[in-house]
Amino acid sequence: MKRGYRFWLLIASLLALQLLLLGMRYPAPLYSPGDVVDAHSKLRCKSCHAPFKKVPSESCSRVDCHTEGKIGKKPAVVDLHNKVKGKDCLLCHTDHLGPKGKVTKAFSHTLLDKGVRCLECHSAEYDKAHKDKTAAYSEDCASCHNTRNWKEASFNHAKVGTKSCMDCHKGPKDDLHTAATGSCAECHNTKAWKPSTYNHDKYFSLDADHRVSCNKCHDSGTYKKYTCLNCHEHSGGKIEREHREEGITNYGDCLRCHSVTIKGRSYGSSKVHEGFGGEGGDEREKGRNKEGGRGFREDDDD
Amino acid sequence: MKLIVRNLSALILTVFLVVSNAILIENALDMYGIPRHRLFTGVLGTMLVILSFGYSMRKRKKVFVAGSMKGWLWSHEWLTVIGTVVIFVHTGNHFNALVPIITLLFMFTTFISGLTGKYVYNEAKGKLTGMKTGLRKEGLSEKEVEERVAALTITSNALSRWRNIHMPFVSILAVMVVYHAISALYYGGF
Repeated sequence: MKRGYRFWLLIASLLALQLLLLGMRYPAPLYSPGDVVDAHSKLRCKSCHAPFKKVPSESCSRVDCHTEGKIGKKPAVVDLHNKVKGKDCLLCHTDHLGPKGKVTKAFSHTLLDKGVRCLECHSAEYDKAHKDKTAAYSEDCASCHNTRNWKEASFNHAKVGTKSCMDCHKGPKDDLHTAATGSCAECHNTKAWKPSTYNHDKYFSLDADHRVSCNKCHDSGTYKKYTCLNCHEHSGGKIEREHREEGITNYGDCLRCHSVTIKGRSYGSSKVHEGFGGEGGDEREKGRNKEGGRGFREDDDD
Repeated sequence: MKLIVRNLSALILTVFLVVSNAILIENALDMYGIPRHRLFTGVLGTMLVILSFGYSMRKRKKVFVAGSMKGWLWSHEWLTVIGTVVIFVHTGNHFNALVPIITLLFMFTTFISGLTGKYVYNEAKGKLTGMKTGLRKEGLSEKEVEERVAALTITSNALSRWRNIHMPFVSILAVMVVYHAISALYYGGF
């Protein structure tokens, strides 16, 4: 068995020698972990690689395309490369990821010298993302952003002290917000503007039968008023006539007198017509009250 | 025949577990962006496979003479299985250069031949010995025993040739690993 072992070692060594000789002529198919980008396809391995060393940055600048001070086409790219002059190119760039491979890796901000301000490179992004000029955005980017991901912004509202929301934020101009008189914190928190913490269920549950646009119920331009009659029309003018007969003009506020139960929760008043017609109400209405009041039922709808 | 089918199933299951675990680990390392994991897994896998040769040294009473052969064989089996998983993680889905591909092919073939030895040959040999002992206890003559186990003896003898495949592949693998490591360091540096 010993002899056999040595025999096969010899065969293996011969195979390796064959590959070695082949590799001297055609190194890429034997050793390349992946095709280089198109721009590098005409280069020989030795143009960039040095034996038993990582690809030195000098190899990149040796090739005519990447002369220091002239790297990149866009001014911002040229500027960035000037800021990291002398750093190892491979910290940000790579190759062998295919002819169309992405040769630029995520940029590490630790490469920058201390004292370089964010806006020296990111002024365009800053302007684009902070269009709302009424908001008092800080130029201290680190107070909201990190260097890993621009969109992972977070602002510590505890820092603003006693300022009110409106000192920095412009209030929305829609009906809902212009009509609102309470503080922002009643419906929003500082973690995120959306979703609002406003709980519509507190006033009326928007169950599957009530998934309609806001102005379907709030059709008078204010969210403080609503009507059910845009859907629960009953018999049209009959409702109006019957209510007007009793001197009720604001009959759109159905829940003031009628009740409805959604998902086991009751909304509105079950004391139908109590107090109607002045203190105590008239006898006819009192008679109706004895019947226990009247709530909306499915069969109320026409 | 039943024995071979049962053990072949165990062999296929082992290969499946090795490959699937390697894919899972490789994806996890990529997902968490562990830097230079290909280099580290390459070195670690090679070290594990080299350590597994302790069994061969012990068998030939070279370097190691202490410890039971059973224990050394156990370590040989587990080190090669874990080493193979790590090497598959090192490879990932990169199949471009010929040298690493050839090295991987030899490693995989060596692994399969090793599993064949464990699951098929050793099982058949163990069963043959057990049957012979049982038949002798029943008072059968040696000739009768040999006649009764003739079919299993032929199977066992045929399977014993697996080492004739295993050892050449181990030799070629050893040379290819060295060649691959040197060429990778030549172009990639330390």
